[in-house]
Amino acid sequence: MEIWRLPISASQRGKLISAGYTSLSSLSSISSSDLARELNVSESEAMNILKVASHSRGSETSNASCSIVEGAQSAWDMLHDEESLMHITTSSADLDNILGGGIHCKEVTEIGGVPGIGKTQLGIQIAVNVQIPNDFGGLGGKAIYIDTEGSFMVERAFQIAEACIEDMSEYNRFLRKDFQECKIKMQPQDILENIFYFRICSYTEQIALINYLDKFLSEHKDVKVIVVDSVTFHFRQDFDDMALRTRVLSGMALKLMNLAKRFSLAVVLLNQVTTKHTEASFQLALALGDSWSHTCTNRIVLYWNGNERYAYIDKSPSLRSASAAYSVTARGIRNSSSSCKRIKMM
Amino acid sequence: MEWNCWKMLKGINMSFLLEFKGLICCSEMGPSSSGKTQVCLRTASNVARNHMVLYLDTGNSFSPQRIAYFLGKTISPSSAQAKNQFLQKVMSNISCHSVFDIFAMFDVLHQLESYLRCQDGRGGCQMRLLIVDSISSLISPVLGSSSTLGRALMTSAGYLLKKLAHQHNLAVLIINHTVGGEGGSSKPALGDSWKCIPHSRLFLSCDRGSNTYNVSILRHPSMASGKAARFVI
Repeated sequence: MEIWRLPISASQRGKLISAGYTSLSSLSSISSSDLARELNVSESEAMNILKVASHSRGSETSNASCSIVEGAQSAWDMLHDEESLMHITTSSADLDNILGGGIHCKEVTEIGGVPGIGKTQLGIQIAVNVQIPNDFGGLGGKAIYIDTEGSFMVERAFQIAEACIEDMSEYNRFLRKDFQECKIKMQPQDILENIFYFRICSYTEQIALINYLDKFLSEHKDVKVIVVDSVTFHFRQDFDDMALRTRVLSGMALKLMNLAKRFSLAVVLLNQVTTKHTEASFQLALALGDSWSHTCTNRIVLYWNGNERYAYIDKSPSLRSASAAYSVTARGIRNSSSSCKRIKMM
Repeated sequence: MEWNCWKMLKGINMSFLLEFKGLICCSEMGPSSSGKTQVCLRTASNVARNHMVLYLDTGNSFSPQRIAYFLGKTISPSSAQAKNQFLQKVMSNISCHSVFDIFAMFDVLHQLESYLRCQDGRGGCQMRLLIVDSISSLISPVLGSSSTLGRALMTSAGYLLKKLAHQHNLAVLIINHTVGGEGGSSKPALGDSWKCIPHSRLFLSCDRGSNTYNVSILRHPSMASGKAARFVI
């Protein structure tokens, strides 16, 4: 029976099987209007089923000689692609160092920490920094900010954008002091215009938005980062069915991975913490459970050490485990050792 | 066909040898960041010297940099050009494909099956290793709802992988996760139905303080379970 292999809904599958269509070849010679009549579904649904069936049949018989599987890339090509990928800086040189240059594109990074450690600040900083033009070592892209908690403050984003532009002009002056000073044409208003803001009020809205992002990103191809602040909020309270929560979260994570890979952008998920009770001791751990902790590519944990804020790389396929200190200033995220304005060297 | 894959992997610090038979389906599991992906990358880089490898990645965690690093450590220092050529030759043997849902994985496995059928006729560099990282991320979105389709998909995936391993002399390495069980202990994800599908199962864990990793056998057709070893990445 090959019908179960098709990615169609369970009710459509049930109707196909009860109507007698059990293998893909039986769907090869029927037209969509006949199928719609036999299954008692709409014609567009029948056309969809036939399209999916012919796609599966096509991929079975085709035998690409150049690659083993359609769409596979060899590791050598990927190495070269990776070298040309830019990173999104976090404006703190120490943090960028442990991250290998900044937040990686094509990967999902989860950042979690106790309340007040600066997760939202880091999210806003990343949404601003992705817009740094290519001349200054940035990506020159736009940002999507998905807010579930309501903690995004426009005034703060304006402040961080202003500080970012000031840093860029200072860098400009420092490096190009021999040449004519080219004024930075960016204004803080432009930076705010390039952040697409979505406010989510329930978990169904969150799922719907992630599904909609596919279409949104095909229309706005210059979006380079998606920040979700925070991914936990609507899944913590009043969720009775834990199995449903696991299913929904893993499905969401896979969709975000797919978006990150296809559109070559970075996805940053902000997470909260919870207390875990293991062997008679209480430990702080990131929320959403064990199954969620496996779904992201990188994980960074923010914590307090005395009076300083630290970031620790908990999980990464290519970075060493390390921690670095950072601070949250009026100008955004900066290195912790400096208390004065510092030129960011790129 | 047998080869001592793990001996190549770990080098010195192993107190015993694990053998990958040509038709074994091996499943690795462990809590988060216990080194599972690193073990896969290391195995891939070792096997790719002589054979072809297909890496199915669900979490964008395939890192060509890491593979280049592992390969670079093993060859003797020579000219940059010779090193480059070596890297190119070995890394072209590794193909990586991203799959984000279980139906895409079935498509890929069917394409792989038709490729392997043609490959068995001719000689040359053959595919010997398939790595799936990780199968639980593909199956968890469909498992557990009121319909039984999720479990059916999971068992069919398992049997398809076993069939590929058996018919085409392929070694299959699958990554699974652990979830919390009763009393705070961790148990493998995907439940008891998945337990009987792989031929051998390994459990990885990480000791954060000393940065060493432990691997222990949970099930193996020819070695006693319970044996453990430590290694450093």
